[in-house]
Amino acid sequence: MERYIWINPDRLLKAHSKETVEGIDLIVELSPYDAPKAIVGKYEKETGCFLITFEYIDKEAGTSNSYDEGITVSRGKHSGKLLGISMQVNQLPLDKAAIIHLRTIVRKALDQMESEPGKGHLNHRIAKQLLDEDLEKLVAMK
Amino acid sequence: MALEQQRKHKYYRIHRYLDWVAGVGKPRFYQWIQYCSRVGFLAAVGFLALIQFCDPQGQQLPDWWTALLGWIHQRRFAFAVILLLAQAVLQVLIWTANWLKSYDVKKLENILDNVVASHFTNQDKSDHIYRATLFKVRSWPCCGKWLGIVARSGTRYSRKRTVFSINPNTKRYNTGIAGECWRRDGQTVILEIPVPKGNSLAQGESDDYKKSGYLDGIELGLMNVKATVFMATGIRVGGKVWGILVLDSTDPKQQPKSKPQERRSTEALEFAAVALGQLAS
Repeated sequence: MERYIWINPDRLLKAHSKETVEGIDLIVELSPYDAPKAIVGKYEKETGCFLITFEYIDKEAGTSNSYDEGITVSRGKHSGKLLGISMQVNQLPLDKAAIIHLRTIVRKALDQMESEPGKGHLNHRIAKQLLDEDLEKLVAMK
Repeated sequence: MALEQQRKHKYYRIHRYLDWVAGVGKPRFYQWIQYCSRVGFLAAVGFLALIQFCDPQGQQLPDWWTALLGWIHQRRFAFAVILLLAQAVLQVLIWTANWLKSYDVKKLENILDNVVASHFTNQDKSDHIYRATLFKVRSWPCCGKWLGIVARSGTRYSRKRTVFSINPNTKRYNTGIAGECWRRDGQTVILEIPVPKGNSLAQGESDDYKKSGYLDGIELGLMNVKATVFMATGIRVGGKVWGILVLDSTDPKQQPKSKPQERRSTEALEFAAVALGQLAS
């Protein structure tokens, strides 16, 4: 079973930063290719794996990296944007304590990913914020 | 501003010339290069394979045929060398023809016209200019990379000779708003430059405009329009930044300030990203 959360574009308006480059003020916003359109949550009973996938306006090949506590993060090969996260979950639905634990380990993995050199930092920031807000809804399926 | 921070277009003249050569308006010519290269390549390989059978001795052939084969057979080493060289030349031609790949400029321009119409609200066309320009990332061995125009909206200012320098390693060699956007992996960049008074700028104004627009002096000198509002975003194909879309206007009211304006501009950019990305791939 899948849980589909459509992202209201207004939620992405926060994803911009004001920067001063060589004395010139400019606004840097998320590229349309890096703005998630939806988040899909899917539980695979056979493997006990919960997959979160970010949907974008384009399709890009990904590369995967593993982090602590069995978290695997997939990123765009060229853009570095967050494509998906997979994690081990015993069974759904999760209770409050398990959701808090899950949120903590996902956040830790994303923080670790952000500290690595690479592209897509603006996308990572917004993806992290969206996951913080929507993780509970995603894992609320039975 | 320190001198070393001023943006510099290192190979401006070379890039401008190469960009003219790589122009997008000669599809038939490019198609012929592609076609001739492939046919020539097959002919060369076929001929090279047959040349070892050219020895006329022991073969029952008409006299004129024997004479011709004998002549080729005596010079078979020279023939082989010439054909191998021809093959190398043809490979270069194929590579060049691929590099000169043309795009459906009419469709691209239609999309850009639509983007201008949906992005810029309450246009005052009698006093101001509203444009969308699509730049493509181009490169040439030993001459670095640059952004050259592939298509531009509207019929005014249809000259497509503007080029901007891009360089992944040195910030200074990324010129123009387009270059700055490319340096940031195609993230959307919005910028407002103080309104220049007319197109001919005084020395101080000229320096300010150059600095604010991340331009090299030579680029500014050849610019027709001194816009005040800019928005640039990367166009990606398969995740890679293929080019940069720049929306600019001389109308200062076009800087997105309210939430509906921001929303409208985001939607226009999204439409452009999908449509242009598909046409470019």
